[in-house]
Amino acid sequence: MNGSRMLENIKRILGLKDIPEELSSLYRGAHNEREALILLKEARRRDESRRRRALQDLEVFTQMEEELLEEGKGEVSESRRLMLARRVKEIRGKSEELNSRIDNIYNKRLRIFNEHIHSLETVLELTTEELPDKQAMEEMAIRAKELLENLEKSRELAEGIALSTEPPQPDEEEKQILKEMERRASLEAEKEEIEPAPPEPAEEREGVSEERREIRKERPREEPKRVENPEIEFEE
Amino acid sequence: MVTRIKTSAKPVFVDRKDALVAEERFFERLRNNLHALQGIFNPLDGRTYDASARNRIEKSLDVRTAEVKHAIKRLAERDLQGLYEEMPKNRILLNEITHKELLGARGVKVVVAGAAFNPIEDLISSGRSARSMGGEELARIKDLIVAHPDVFYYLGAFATTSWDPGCRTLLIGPNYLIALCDRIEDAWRTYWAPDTRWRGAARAFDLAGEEEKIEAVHRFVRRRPFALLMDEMTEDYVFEELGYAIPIIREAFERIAAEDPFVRFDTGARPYRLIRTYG
Repeated sequence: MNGSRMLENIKRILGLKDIPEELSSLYRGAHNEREALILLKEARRRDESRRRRALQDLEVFTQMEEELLEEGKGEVSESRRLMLARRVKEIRGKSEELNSRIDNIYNKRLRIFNEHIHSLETVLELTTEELPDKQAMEEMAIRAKELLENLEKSRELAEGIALSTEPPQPDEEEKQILKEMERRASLEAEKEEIEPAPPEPAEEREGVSEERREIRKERPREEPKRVENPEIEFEE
Repeated sequence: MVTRIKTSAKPVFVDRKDALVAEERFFERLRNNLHALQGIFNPLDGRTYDASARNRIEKSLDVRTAEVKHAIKRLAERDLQGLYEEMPKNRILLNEITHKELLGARGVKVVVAGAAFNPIEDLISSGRSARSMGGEELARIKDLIVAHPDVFYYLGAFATTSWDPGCRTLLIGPNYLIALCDRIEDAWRTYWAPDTRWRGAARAFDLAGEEEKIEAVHRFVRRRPFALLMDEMTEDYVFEELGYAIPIIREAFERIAAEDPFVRFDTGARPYRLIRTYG
């Protein structure tokens, strides 16, 4: 299949009407990297098969050369030997030509294709996930930094405010109320001093409480009264 | 300048079974061709005779079959019957095309004959052979068949191995024409004596159909990559080897070039040829 037919097939597969050459410099007018990759892989496959064919042809030449040399070895007729020698010379010429074609064209071109295909594959792999816009990223980073700075400033401010603040001063009315509170407190204290309350023995209280706890532990948990089947109860 | 050189062809051996099968197939194809033949030209009187079944008499000559039996008796020691059954019989088949004049008796005007040639002695003694058939045997059988000077004979001589190149000098006579048939690489091949008297009778010995011939050319090209690489796969070369008509060879060449991206049908100069291309 020649190149143009292959291109037609690719266009058909991709559903494209035409691929103008001037549209893209990727490869043979491909619109995008993916198209270029397909075309390049096709081109590489064609060159690989050309190289393979050339190598097979070289084997044919080598085999025939060998046969003719063998034949010439046992040939007694000088003219026939000369003919065989000429034929071997021709074969060697063709072999050289073919070797040169493999080295100078196919091998070199395949290296180039491989390199470009590798680059395109890398590009395609990297572009499968969309990255954010650079400007947006920069703006967001600046904004984030500013916000963090503001937060820090607020924190510092808050701390500063906490250190410098004096306790609130009561007004006149509040002062009087406070005095009243103090007065009442001193009165209660005096009263307690005059009539001290008999203190409860701590041990006894503790013993009672422990006893109560033990009673709680020992007392089995009352099972909820089960309601038997009323019919059976009636029969008993 | 390219040195054309003919490498010594490797001998192709044929065993008893192959020879027997090939012989049977030859007669089967010959019969089919004769059934398809409508009329046949007699160069002696310049008339074309009706060759349909009612004017055709098929006969078989047993002379050579008897020779095979004698050879077996002479060369083999045991299981003679088994050996005979395995062997090709060197049969001769005659198809007499008769014609009745308005006032006269029915007479034979043309004979289309087929004869098989096998290296019988080799096949009996060693079971196989690659020996080509020679002119002597061909001339003997021709004399056996061509019996009447006023009847024209078309003879298809089939060798299960191959023919000596010298046989090509024996194919034309005053009242006979011979076509040499054989098989090359599973393909039927016929060499007609170059003569204008053949006309439609040549078709009787054309043993392969068009598609078979195209397939045979395919095989021929595929098995000779060296000729292709040396730009020697010409239509003339294939014609020399297979004997097929040039239009059929060209058709086959076109198909090969269409199928194989590394082969191009070069029609820039004659003879047309297939050449290697990597483009």
